[in-house]
Amino acid sequence: MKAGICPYPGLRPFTEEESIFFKGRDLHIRQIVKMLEQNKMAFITGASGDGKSSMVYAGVIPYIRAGFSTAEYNSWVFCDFKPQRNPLESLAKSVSQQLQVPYDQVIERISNGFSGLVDVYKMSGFYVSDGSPDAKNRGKNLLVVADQFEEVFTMNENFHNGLPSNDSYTSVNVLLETIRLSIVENLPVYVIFTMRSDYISQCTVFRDLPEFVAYSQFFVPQLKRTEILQVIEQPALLAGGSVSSRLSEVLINNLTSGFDYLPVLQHTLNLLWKMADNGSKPLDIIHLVKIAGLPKDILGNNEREEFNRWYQQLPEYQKKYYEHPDLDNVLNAHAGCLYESAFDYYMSHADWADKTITPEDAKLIIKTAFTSLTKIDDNRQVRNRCTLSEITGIISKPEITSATVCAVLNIFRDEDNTLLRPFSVKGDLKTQYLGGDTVLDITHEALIRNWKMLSEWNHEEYENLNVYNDYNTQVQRWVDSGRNPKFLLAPGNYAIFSKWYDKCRPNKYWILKHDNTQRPEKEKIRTAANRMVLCEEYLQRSNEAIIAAEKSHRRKVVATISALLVFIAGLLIFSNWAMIEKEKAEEQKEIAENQKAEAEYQKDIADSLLQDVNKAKNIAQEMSDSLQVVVKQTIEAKLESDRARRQAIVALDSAERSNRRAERNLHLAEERRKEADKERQNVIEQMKLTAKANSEAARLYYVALCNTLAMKAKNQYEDKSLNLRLAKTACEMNRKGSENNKNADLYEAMLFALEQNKMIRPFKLDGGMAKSISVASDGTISTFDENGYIKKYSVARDGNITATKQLSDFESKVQMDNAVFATSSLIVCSAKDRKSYLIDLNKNVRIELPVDNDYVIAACSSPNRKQCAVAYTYGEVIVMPADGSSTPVAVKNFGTMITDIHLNGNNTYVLTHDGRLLKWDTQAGEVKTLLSSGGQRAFCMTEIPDKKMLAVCFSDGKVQFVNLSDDSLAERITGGHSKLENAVYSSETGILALSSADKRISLFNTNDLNDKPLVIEEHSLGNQKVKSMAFDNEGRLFALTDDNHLRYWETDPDKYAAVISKMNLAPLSDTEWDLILGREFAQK
Amino acid sequence: MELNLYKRKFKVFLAEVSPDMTAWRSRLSCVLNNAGIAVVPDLQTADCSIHLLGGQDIYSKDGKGYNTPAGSQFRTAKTLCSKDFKMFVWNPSDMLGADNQYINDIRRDIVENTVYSDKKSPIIFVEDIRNIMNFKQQESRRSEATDIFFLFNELDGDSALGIYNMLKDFQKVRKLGISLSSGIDYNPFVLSQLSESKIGVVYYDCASDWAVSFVRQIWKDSGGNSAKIPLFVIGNSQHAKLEQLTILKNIAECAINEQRRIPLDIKVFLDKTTKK
Repeated sequence: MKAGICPYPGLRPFTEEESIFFKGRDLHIRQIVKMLEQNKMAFITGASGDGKSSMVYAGVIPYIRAGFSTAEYNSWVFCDFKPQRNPLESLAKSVSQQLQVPYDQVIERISNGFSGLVDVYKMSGFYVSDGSPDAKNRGKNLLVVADQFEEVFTMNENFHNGLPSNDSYTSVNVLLETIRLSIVENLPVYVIFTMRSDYISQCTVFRDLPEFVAYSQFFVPQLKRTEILQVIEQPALLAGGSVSSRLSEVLINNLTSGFDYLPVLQHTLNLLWKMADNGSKPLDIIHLVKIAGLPKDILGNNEREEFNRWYQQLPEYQKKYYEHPDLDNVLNAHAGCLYESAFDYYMSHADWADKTITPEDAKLIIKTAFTSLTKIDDNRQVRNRCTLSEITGIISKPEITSATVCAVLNIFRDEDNTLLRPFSVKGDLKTQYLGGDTVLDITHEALIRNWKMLSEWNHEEYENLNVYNDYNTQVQRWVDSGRNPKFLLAPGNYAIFSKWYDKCRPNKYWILKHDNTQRPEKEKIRTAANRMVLCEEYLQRSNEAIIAAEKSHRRKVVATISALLVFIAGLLIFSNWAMIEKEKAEEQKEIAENQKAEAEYQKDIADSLLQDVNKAKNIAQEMSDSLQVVVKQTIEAKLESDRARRQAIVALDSAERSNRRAERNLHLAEERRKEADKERQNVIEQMKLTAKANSEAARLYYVALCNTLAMKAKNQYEDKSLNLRLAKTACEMNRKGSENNKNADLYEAMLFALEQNKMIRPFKLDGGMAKSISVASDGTISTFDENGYIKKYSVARDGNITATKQLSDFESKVQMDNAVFATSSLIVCSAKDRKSYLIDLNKNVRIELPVDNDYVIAACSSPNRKQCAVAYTYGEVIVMPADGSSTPVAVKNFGTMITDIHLNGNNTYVLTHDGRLLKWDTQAGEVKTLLSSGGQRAFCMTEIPDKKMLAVCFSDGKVQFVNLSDDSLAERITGGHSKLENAVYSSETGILALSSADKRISLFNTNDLNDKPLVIEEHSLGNQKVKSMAFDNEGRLFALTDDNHLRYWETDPDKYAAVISKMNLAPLSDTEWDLILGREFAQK
Repeated sequence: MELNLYKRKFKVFLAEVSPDMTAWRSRLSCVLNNAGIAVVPDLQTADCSIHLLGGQDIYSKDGKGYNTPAGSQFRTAKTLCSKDFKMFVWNPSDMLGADNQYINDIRRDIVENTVYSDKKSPIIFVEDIRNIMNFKQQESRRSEATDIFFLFNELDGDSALGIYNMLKDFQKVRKLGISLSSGIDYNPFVLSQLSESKIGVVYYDCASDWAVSFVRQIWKDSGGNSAKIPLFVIGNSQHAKLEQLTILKNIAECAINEQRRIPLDIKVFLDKTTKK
C-alpha cells in the first residue's frame, strides 16, 4: 500500500480507482447489476449525498469489469458523461472517445435522435454479430452512464421556463431509443442514469421518460446500521488501519439522518484518518474531538490533558469552531479554517501569483467565488458551475486577475481538502495553475448546506438578486417607454436602489450569472453589458430627474389632469358606438335560428324514406337464404348415397382377402409340425449334455458360494468374529470348488475380516511427514521425512511394525518438498527452497546437486548401482556417479514436465507428464521417442527385469508394456479405473503392484496378465492415497499413505487362508446361514 | 429490489433498570413485543441483552446502584459479549441527569459486539437491534479445502487449462474460469472458495483489463490488507498491467516470461506462503 493513501475520499465521490475501499453497498450493487441484466437499464435515484455516483463508479462498474455479471461478450466498453451545459455534446464526446469513432460522425448520427447511438455502436467494431466462434472475445458490451442527469433540469441552457432545449430532448430520445432497441434486438447495450430524486417529477417533460423510470428505477436505500458500520470500519481495515468500536458507535449515534449524512460522514472520516497520522494509529474518539466533532467531556483524564495541550497551540480563529462541537460542525469548521488561512496559504504556496493583495481582498475573492458557484433554484441551494474568468469578472477589481483568484482558491482545491473542483496536486504546477476558461465547481452540495458562512453569503446574494430584479423591472419599463422621464425612479425608490447599488456593486458578469435565458453565451454577455450601461444610466437620469422635478412639479400636475379628462371623453364616445353594434348583432342571431328549424324538418322526412327502403331490402335477403338451405340438403343426400356404395365395395374386398389368408395358414401348419419333430430329437441330445454340465455346475456352485460368503464377510457386523467365520467358511467352499486361493473376492474378504479383528493394523509414523519408503534385502524398512530424518522399522514376529532406529545426520532446516529412494541406501531429495541433494547412507555423505531451481520428481539407480539418474519436475535430468562426486555424468533439459525416470545402462528412460516415453542415450546424446502421447498423462513406470520389460502407467488406468530389448510395444492392460500413481514390482513373486488415485492397489500376476488382479481396497488404505510403495523379499507389499501411516499386506492369499484356517472358530449355525445367505443356499 | 424480511428469530434479555427508567422499560418491552422479538427472563438463554441508561448511575463502581440487579446484569452481560452474543446499551438522552459522566465512561468502554444507542425513539432503537441481529456474513457455498484456487478468464481458457492440468497432478487445486455470458454470479463462490484455499492465483494472458479489475474486487471483498489468504497474480509481461496492483498489499505479482514455468512459480509462492 502506498504510504499515506487515504481510504476515505471525503466530500468527493469514490473513483473507480478507489473502488477497493468502497464498502456498505455490496447488496445494492448486486441488485443494480441484476436489474441491468434483466432490463438493460437502471435509473438510479436518491437524495443528494446518497452516494449514487460512487455506487456506479466504485461499485457497479468495477463489479461488471471484474466479470461478475452476465453479458454477451467477455469485455466491456464504458461511455460515461455528465449532461453539463450541452448533454448531446457531452454524450457525443464520450462515445467518440470510447468507441473510437470520429466525433463528427458521432454527433451527426446522434443529432438525428432515435437509433443514432446504436448505429454508432454497430459501426464501431465492438459489436460482432458474424456468429464466429471468437465473437465473444472480439466484441465488447457497451455501458452508457448518464451521471448527474439532473443537470438536464438544473442548467438553464438545458431547461428553461419548464421546457427542455432541443439538444436535451434529443439526448434523452437517443438514450431511451437505445434501451428500447437493446431490448428488442437483444443487443449487449446497457444504460445507467443517476439523478437526484427531487427532480423526478420534472421527467414528465420528456416523452416516454416516466415509463422508462417506472420500468427500471432503483431508489437508493438508506444505509442500515450494520451497513454504516461497514462504511466506517471496512476501508480502514482494507488500508491496514483500524477504527475503535467506541468511535464507530459515536459516529453512528451522532449522525443526523436525512440529507448529507453520508458526505458528512465521509468527510469526517477523511479528516479523522489524517488526524490519526494517516491511519498509522487506530482512529479513536480523541481524533473526533480534535476535528471539532465531539465535546471533550467524553475523553478520559489522560486524553483530555493531551487534547488541552494540543488545543492551546491552535490559532485563535480556529478555537471558535470548538464552541459547539458536533458531527455537523466538522465540515463547517474545516471550511471556515480554510477561509481564515487562505491568505497565508496563498502567500506561501503560489510563487507564480501576484502578492500585492490584502487579506481582505483574499476573503472577498473567496466570498465572491463561492456565491458565484452557488445559486437558488426553485427555493433550493444548488451548485452553479462558473469559469475562473467569470468569477474574476464579478469581483471586478483591475488589480485582481484570474491567476490571483486561482491562487487564493487553491487551498480549497488542494488534494487534502477537495472542496472545490478541479483538484490540485501538491508539487504539480499544471494542476495548481488554471486558465481563465477553467470551469470551477463545488465538490458536493453538502458544503453549501453545512458551511454556515456560505449559507449567510447565499442569503445575502439572494436578497441582492431580489432587489436587482425589482430595479431591473423599473429600468425595462423606462426603456420600453422610449426612455420616457416619467418612468425614472421616484425619490423614495431612488434612495433604496442607490444604497443597494453602492453595497452590491453589480457588474456585467454578476448580471450574466443571473441570466437564465437560453441564448448564445456571446449574446448574453453583450446583453449583460448593455444592461449594466442602462442600469447606471437609469440611476443617473433618475437622480437628475429628481432634482429637476422639484421645479416643474405643478406644471406636470396640470398636464396630467388634462390628459385624464381627454381620456374619459374618448371612453364615453366608444361606449355609445358599442351599444349600437350590439343591437344589430341580436337581429342577425334571430334570423339564423329560424333557418336552422326549417333545416331540421327537412332532415326528418329524409330519415323516414330511408327506413322504408331498408325494410324491402331485408325481405329480399330472407328469401335468398331459404333457397340456399334447399340446395344444401340436396347435395348432402347425394354424398350419403356415394358413401354407402363405397362401403359395400370395401366389404367385398375384405372377404376375398380372408379367404386367401386361411389357405396360407394351412400350409404353415404343415411345416410347423415337421419342425417340431426335429426339435424333439435335439432336446434328447441336450439332456445328455446337461447331465455332464451338472457336475461342473456343482463345482461352480461352491465357487459362487465362496464368492457370496466372501461378499458377506466384507460387511460390517457387530460381532467382528463373524467376519472371520464367514471368511473361513468361504475358504472351505473355495477349496471344494477351486484348486487355489487366488480368488480376488476371497482375498478382499480375508483382508477385511483380519482388519476388523485388528490382526492387520496400520502403523502411525512419529515426527514429520514421511516422503518416501524403501525396503532393504534384510527386510528393514526405511522412511525419509520432511525434516530430513531417516527412520528404520522392522516387522516383528507378531506381525506388528516396530521402530528400530533414527538417523538425524541429514536433518534439514528447510522443509523437504520431495524425496525418492533410488536404492535402499541412496536417497535423492529436494527442499522447499528448491535445492536438491544426493544422500548415500552407506558412505554417510550428502552431496548438493547442481540443479537448484526446481523440485526433484523421480530418481533411479542403475542395475549395477554405479550411477543414479535424477529427474526434476520442469524438465531437467541429470545422471550422477554414485562415487560421491558432485559432477554429473550427463545433463539434459527435456523442456517439458517429467513424472518418472528409469536408468538402464547407458539408456535413461524418461516419462513425461504429457504421456511420452523417451529413451535418452547418455553417451551418444540421442533421444528417441518410444511412446507418443495418446492424449493421456503418465505418472509412473517400473521395470520388470525378469521379462526385460518396462510397465508405463497412464492417467486413464491403462498400463503399456514396452520391451527393453528392442523398444517394441508389448501388451496393454487395464491396471486400474483411475489415474495410476505408483508402480512397484517384486522379482520374487512376479507381482506388479499399481496404486491409483481412487485409493486402491491392484496386484497383477505378470506371469498371466489376463488373470483378474487381487485388489487392496480403499478401506484397507484407511481411505488414503498411497505416497510410496515397496516389496520385501518375501513378497510383502509395504505402502506409505498420505496420513503418514505405514501399512503392509501379504500378496499371496494362501498365507492369509492358512492363518484363518488355523483359527479355532465356531462354524456358522443354521440360523446364521439362513439370515446371512438366505434359505435358498441352505436348501441347495 | 429485495426486501429484508428479518426472518431470524432471536431472544432478548431486558435488564432491570433504575427507578426513573421503569416507564421506558415498559414501553420498550411493548415495542419489542410488537416487533415479534421474544423477551426472555434468563440472561444465559438470550442472544442479546438490553440495558437502559438513565439519570441514576447504577453501573459504575462509584454509583449507588452498583450492587442492584441492574448493575450485576450489566456486568454479567459484558462478560458474555461475543460473536454470538450482543449487548445493547440504550440511552434515551432526554432522561439524563445533570451529571452524565458515567455515560461518557460507558461510551469510552464500548468494545466489539457492544452497541450503544442514544436514539430517542424506541422504535428506531428496536429497528437497529433487528438489523444487527439479522446481519450475517456471506454463506459459504460449494467450497472445499484446497491448496490453490486457480482463477482465469475464459478468454485465456486454453492456456489456463494447460497450467491447471500440470498443477493438479502435484497440488490440490480448484479452478474457476470466469465467463461473462454464463449467467452465473461468481462473486459469492469466489470469496467462499478463496477462504478455503491456501493461496488464490489469478492468471491472465489476453484478458489483462479484466484481471486488474477482478483482482482489485477480490482483494477488497476478501479483506484487503487484513486478508488471510494471499493472492498471486501471474500475467503476460507483454500486457503491462500489473503495476496497477502495486499499491495493494497482500498481493504478489509475477510477469510471465516462460509459460511452462508458471506451475513452478505458483508452487514456489505456495511454499513461501505456507512456510510463514
